[in-house]
Amino acid sequence: MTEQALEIKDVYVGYKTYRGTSKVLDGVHLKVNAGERVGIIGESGCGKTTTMKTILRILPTNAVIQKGEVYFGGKNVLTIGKDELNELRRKHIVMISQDPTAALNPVFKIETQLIDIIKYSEKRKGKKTEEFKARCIKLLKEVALPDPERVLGSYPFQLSGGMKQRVCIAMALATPRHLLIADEPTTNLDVTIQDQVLRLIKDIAEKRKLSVILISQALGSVKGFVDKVYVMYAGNTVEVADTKELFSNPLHPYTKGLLDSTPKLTGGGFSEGIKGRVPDYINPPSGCRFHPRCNYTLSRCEKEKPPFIDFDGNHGVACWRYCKK
Amino acid sequence: MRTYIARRLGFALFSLIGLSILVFYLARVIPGDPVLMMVPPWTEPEVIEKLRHTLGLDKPLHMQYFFWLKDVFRGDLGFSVYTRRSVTSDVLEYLPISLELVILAALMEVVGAFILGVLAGAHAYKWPDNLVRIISYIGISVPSFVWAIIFQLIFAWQLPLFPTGGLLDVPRPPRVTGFTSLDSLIAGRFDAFVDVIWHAALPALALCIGGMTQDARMIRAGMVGNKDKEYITMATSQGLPKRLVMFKYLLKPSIIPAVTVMGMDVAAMLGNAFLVEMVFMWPGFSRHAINAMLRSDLNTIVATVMVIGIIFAIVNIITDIIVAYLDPRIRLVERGE
Amino acid sequence: MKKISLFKTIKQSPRWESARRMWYKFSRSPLSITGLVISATCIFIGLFAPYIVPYPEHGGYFSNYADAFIPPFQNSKYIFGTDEYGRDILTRTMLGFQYSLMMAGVVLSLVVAPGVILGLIAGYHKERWIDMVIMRISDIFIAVPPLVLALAICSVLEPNIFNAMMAVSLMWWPWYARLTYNVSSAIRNEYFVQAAEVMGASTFHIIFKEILPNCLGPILTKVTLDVGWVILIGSALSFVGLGAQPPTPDLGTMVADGGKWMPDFWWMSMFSALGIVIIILGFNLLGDGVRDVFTE
Repeated sequence: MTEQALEIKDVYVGYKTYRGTSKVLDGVHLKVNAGERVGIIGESGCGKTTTMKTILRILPTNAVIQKGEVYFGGKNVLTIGKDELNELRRKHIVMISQDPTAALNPVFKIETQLIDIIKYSEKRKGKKTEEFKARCIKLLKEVALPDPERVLGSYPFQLSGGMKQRVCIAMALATPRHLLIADEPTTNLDVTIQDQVLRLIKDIAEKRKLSVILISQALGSVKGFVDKVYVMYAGNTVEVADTKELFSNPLHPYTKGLLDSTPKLTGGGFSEGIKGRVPDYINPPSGCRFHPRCNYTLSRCEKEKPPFIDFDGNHGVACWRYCKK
Repeated sequence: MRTYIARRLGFALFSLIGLSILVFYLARVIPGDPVLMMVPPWTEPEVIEKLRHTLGLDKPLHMQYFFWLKDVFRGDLGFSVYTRRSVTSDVLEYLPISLELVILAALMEVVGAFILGVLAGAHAYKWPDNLVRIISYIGISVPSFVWAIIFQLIFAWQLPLFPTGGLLDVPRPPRVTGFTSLDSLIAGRFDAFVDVIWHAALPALALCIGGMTQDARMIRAGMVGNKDKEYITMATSQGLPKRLVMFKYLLKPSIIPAVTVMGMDVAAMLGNAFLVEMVFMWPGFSRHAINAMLRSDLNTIVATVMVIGIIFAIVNIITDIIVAYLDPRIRLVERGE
Repeated sequence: MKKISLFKTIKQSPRWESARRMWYKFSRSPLSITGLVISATCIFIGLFAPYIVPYPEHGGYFSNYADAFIPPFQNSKYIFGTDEYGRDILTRTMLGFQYSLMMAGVVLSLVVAPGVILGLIAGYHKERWIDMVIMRISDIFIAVPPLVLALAICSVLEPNIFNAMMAVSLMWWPWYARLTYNVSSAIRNEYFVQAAEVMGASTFHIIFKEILPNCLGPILTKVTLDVGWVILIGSALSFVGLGAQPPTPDLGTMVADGGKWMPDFWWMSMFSALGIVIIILGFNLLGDGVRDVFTE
């Protein structure tokens, strides 16, 4: 079963722009065991989506994978051939993205897109369209879409945001997979729908025994769902811990600041937030990328990048303060 | 969808009527007395007056317009002082010949644009793309009559691969439809059919090459622009085969702006054909029209503008329908939504 | 009191900054710079042609049959060869540039301002009667391909270069009205326009100070590309015989005249044709560059 584990090791990815190379990912690591549920939290622009795209190798044309390995099922995804990559995408890993409107092709009906996924996933040709259609309707019912017939015959712009996201989830589930990546699936939805969709993802993950990577800005939704949480900042993994442990005992100054920023119903006013801004990836800060914004810097922080240290069993952190040396 | 078509039709009709008024007035008002132009200078004044009365040219201008319009609906486009017969018969004789050329050119343009555009888009930033880009810069800068001269020089004079002009070298088949190629097929004359197409090849190419290269560039731009769009990366991430993604899911949204432009090009082709027809001595409608214009044959001029305008409008409406079919957002979103 | 340098003030103004930024963006594309260089050269030739051509008198009625039909690149006296009257082709081509660019200049100066103003008015008063009227009238002109209408108008007028310019101007303005209408009617509903209205700004101010600056991009692009188009149509008209008449050295006329002597004396058509191509190419590259500057 550990065959189906995902491991991202020390990945460096940059984007080529006319001003220079934007060094977005600066040594990311991640590990998801089979059946495990992992959350990733971090600000916008810290490289979460880029990491996920690297796993599936769907980075835009100006992206460059400079270093690193991504292992799934024992193989390095970054070096496997086209056929194997295609198999990986068809059978093992699938992603739901942030913006369901952008994720659906505007000039094709839902029907067409959904049927094509089913048709080409198993490479079984010669099946009748009615059979595919019946499967689609079943899928749409599974994601709690009322009136599946109408949805199938519609174009994306005729559906609401929540419906579109459900369609995307249905597309992700069209064929059996092992790992589901949900990249901020609820950020662009109405607050009232957010909960529904998240619950849906939860149910499906449980029912189908999927491993899940859930990326979210909403710390609350992450808390209730995942076993382990990774914290990312500026293209680095800065901390990882079991959910309860992370929220009760955050180590990295960034994590502390992040958790502090959430207003609490129990009172205590608003926190001051974290000073400064997300760094410029073309000229990133030297050493630890967080040091300009950190309240607890040591002299080392500016000069060297801290390694990822195993602090306490399952709790890891990348910060010089916790380095015993 | 039906309201969309109906609206476009009404719109076109309005424009055409406006156009007819404009051209009619231009033709009658500016050049001076049409009767004086028709008769030799020594004619007596009484004869001139009688002629004026017979032709109805002594009535007020707007009445003349309505009479003209009535005649048009009856199929009578007036009398041509150039060919000394009815303009209608001139149109029926020459228009199909031009249409043959234009239809061939339109087919070439669409097919060529797709091949070049998809080639450039699929291999963006590599040599096919750069080649297509250079060709397109040359294509738009060279006017069609210059292409016509160049082609004639190189492929007809220097390398006798194609004929240097005219409609065909073998005897002409009996006239049934007016379309020489169709008539050849009807009469079972395959030699004539091939000959017509062979004669039409160079002029059609000259006519369409500018537009073809532009359309190719637009298709390429569409593909490159949409390649990194989320719906394409998602499709790839779901494991769909690369061919399917490129030629179905990427192609369709990418060609929409190009199809619009292609339609406009084809619509304008009949009007732009005269340059090429002159160089290759293709006995078509546009060339006839130019000759009529040079001789101030007003009825033909007016009829020409109307015929070209009508065809232009029809082709544009067809293009709009095709685009609406390709892009559901256009046909299904009602005004105000 | 400190004297403030005017030059310094200009340099620090936001307009200068945005001009610099535009230039920076423009200059990064080698094709755009090429277009600029070519266009500038053409304009230079067009402006100063009578002073820099080797044989200015060859632009009119001139004959020197002893030197007729000389092929190009043969001797240094007539680099591009001579035509059937013994006139130097290089001279006539360069003079032809003058005519072509003059036509483009005249037509565009006549057409752009009225077209744009009409388009702005129609766009601002969208859905009211004035919009309908202006746009329907311009639709009539757009109902046929431009070349056809130009031909038709020319054919009822006396054929000369002045009438050709008038004809082309008459049918060119609606394209500017339509372009400006499309752009301005989209901008018209933006918040900053509504804010200006609420603050009581006059219609004049809103149209010319708020909406117009935002339309400049597409308009400027179109003007640059249109130089090529107008010259194309102008040369097509002359080619057919409805524009400039011989012996005027108009590029289109020269192509047509030279066509009679094809294929043996190919140079008579070819160099004027090449001239047309170079002007159009230069302005097209320039226009593409301008468009890229205004699209982020």
